[in-house]
Amino acid sequence: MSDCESFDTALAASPDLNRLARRARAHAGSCRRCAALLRDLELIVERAASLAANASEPDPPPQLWDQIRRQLEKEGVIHANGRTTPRRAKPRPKSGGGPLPRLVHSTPRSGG
Amino acid sequence: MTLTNRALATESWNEAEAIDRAKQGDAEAFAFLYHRHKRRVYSLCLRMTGNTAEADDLAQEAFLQLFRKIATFRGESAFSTWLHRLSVNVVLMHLRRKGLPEVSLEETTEPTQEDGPKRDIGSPDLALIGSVDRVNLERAIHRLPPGYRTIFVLHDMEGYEHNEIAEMIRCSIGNSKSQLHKARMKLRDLLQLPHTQGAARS
Repeated sequence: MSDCESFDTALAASPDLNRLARRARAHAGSCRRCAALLRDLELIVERAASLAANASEPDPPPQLWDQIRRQLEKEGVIHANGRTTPRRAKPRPKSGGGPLPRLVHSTPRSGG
Repeated sequence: MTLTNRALATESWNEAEAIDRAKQGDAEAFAFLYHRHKRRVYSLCLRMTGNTAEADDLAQEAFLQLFRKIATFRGESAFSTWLHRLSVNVVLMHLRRKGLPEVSLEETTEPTQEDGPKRDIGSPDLALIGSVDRVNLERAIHRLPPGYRTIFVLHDMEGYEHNEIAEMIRCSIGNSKSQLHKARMKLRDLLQLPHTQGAARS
């Protein structure tokens, strides 16, 4: 097995780049191909973490809460008038009370 | 109580109080918890599915399950952690029902015909510096096959460990690691595609 193949194997076996085997990291220090690969993967990991930490989280559609609330009222989980009343356990069918209505979007939304 | 008065009342709540009230069936407490966590849950669903319509339905299902089960919340973990795990499970269940393999063993890192001619992975003249901005990365993640996207989002974005992912996905730890590596390699491919970058600029 060539050093590059060994490097690829080490990467696949241990995707924690900070714990990449010393030998594999040493190889990347002397091989342009493997150095570029390691650099790219480190960049992807770093940017993905940054994206998760800093991305603005979109609001769900405004009608989502109304749908949830209506369903919970129907099931007796919450009370329509907003009173605070102890909730009684109520047996529900396994399906969770039948199929839920899908949200109907008033405006087209992208699928991606 | 008027809507305004109720809104004012909930402003002074903390989460623990809202949870206690929700356990009693208090409608405003449910609303408080929903609005406090809706973005986090919706974003998770969107990231894991890459599809807004599915994310809408799954966020709805996650909150329904949350509120049905809230009486069982004992505070052993943070409420947000509990909700997050519940939401991940809702998405994974959805993927199973859809019949999509969460971990596709068929997926390779070879470019498809659509992706253009095969390149040597790791070619040093295709370094990603400069192309991995937020928009490009989000687009590329959305283009990942579902199995890869699930593992990548859970590990590299949501911070789950391989043993946790293996438990959730019902695969081995080795498989989780292997799929994560393939997902990153696929992302690298996608980020190097000229049309991906062109689309991001438009």
